Amino acid sequence: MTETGAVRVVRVMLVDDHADFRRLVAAVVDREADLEVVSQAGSLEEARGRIASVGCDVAVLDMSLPDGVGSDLIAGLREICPGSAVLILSASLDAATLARVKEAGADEVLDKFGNPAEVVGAIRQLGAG
Amino acid sequence: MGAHGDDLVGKRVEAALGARARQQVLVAELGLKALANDDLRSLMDEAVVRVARTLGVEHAKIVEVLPGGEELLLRAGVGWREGLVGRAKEDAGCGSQAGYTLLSDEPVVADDVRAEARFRPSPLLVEHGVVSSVTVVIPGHLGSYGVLGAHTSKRRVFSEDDVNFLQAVANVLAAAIERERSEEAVGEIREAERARVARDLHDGALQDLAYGLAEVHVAEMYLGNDDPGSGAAALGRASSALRRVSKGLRATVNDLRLGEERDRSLPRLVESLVERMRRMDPDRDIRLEVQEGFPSGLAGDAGAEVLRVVGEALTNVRRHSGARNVRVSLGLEGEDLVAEVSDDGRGFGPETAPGIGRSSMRERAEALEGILEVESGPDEGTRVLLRVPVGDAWRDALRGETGTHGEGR
Repeated sequence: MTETGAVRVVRVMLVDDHADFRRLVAAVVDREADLEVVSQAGSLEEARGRIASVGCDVAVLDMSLPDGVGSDLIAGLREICPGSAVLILSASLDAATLARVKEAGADEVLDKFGNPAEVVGAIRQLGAG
Repeated sequence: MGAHGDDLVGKRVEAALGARARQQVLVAELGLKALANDDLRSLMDEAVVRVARTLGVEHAKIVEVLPGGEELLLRAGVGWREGLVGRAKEDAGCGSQAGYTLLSDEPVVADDVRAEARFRPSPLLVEHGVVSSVTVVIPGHLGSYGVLGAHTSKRRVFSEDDVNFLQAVANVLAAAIERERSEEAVGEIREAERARVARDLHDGALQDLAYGLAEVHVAEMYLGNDDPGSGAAALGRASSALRRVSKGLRATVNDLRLGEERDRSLPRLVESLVERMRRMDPDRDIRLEVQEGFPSGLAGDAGAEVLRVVGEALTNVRRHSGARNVRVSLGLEGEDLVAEVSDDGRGFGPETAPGIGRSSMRERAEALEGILEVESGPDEGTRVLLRVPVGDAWRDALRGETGTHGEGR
C-alpha cells in the first residue's frame, strides 16, 4: 500500500479478457480516491508479466481467460506479493467453480452479474485487511 | 441307377439340404437378434455357441484385433479352458491361424493344423488338442474387426458350405459391430458439439451480457449522481452490448439447426462463422480466403460437416493459441476440397494430448472419407488442414447444377 497525503491508496490489478468489461471496472474503481488500478491484463501470461513488474495489493481476476482459469494465478501472485488479496469474478458460479476457487485460496468470490459497486466495496474491504 | 441307389442319393441330398437349411435358419435368427438387441457381447456369446452346435465342433471363438494390430484377443468363445475368454491372446501374422486369416483376407481351412506350412498353430489351439479348423475374417469398415473360428480335435474336412455358413455368421457380427462403433462415434461427436456450444455461449453471449448489465448499473449510478450525460453514454454502451448478445445467441441457434446450413453455400457459411469469431474476438485478425471460382451451390450435409471442422479449429485458436493472426482458406485441389485454418500462436508439442475437439475433427474427416492434418510445434503456430474427396453428386450440388442436396458421403 502507498501513502499519498493522508490517504492510503489500494493498488489494484484487473485481469479479464473482455476488454470493455475491464475498462468499465477500471473506470469505476479509479473514481474512488482511495483505490487505483495500477495494471490490467487480458490473459494469464500477460498477468504474470504485470505481477512481476508492478505488483498489487488486490487482484481482481475473471475466471475464464483464454489461456486458463483466473484462480491459476493465485499461487504465483502470493509468491511475489505475499500480502496481496484476491477477488474472483465469475460469470458461472457453479459448485465446481466455487470449490476450485476456494481450494486455490481466493479471499472473495463475486458474481460477474452483480453491481460494480459491490466490486468496489469488496476491493476496499480486502485492501484494508 | 436302381431304385435302391436313387433312394440313397435322395437321402444324402436331403441330409445335406437339411444341414444347409439349418445353417441358413441360424444365420437368419442371429441376424434378427442383431437387429433387435444392441448388446454386442450377448450376440457374440450366442454366435459362438450356435456355431459350435451347428458345425458339430467342440470349440468356437471370436478374436478381436487389438490396437496396434500385433495381437488378437479371445473376445468370445465356447469349449476353451475356463478363464481364457477375455484374456487369451493369439499372435497376428503367421503365428496363428487367425492371424494368417487376416493376412490372406479370406477363409482358411486347415485339415490338420499340426501339419500346416502356411502358419504355426497358436498355443491356444495346441493346448486344446485342435486338429481341424476353419476361420473367416469378421470384416470392418476401417480394417477388419477380427476372426471367427470353429475348431475340433477330431480330424475333419470342412466343406464349402461350412465355410460359407461361418462367413455368413461373421458378416452378421460385422454389421452389429459396425453399428455399435458408429453409434459410439456419433455419441462422441455430439458430446464434443455440446461442449463447444456451451463454451461459445459462455465466452460470447454470457460475457457480453455481464458487461451490458454492469454498464446499466453504472448508468444508474451516474443518473443518481445527477450526471445524465455520463448515464446516457453508459446506457448507449449497454445497448450495443445487448445487441451483440442477441447476435451471438441467434448465431448459436443457427448453429444448432443443421438444416438451415445445408441450404446455404459453403463459402457463405464459412464467412458467417468467421464473422462470428471476429465479433467474439475483436483483437485477433482473422483473414478469410476463398479460392476464386469456388462453387457457390448448396453446401449439403457434407458441407455442414466441413463447416463444423473449421468451427472446431477456430474455437481451438480462440481458446488456446493466443494468436494475433489467423488465416482461413477454402479451395478445390483436383478432386479434393481443401479447408485450412492456420495461426501464428503458441502452438503445441507432440506431448500435448489431443482434446475432444481434435478427435471430433478427425472423426468428421473420416466420416467424409477425408483426412485431417494437424501441424504444430511450440511457438510455431498451428495449422489444421482438412482434405475431403468431392464425389460427383456433391460436386454437382456445390456448383448448383442440381436442385437436390449434395451427398458427398
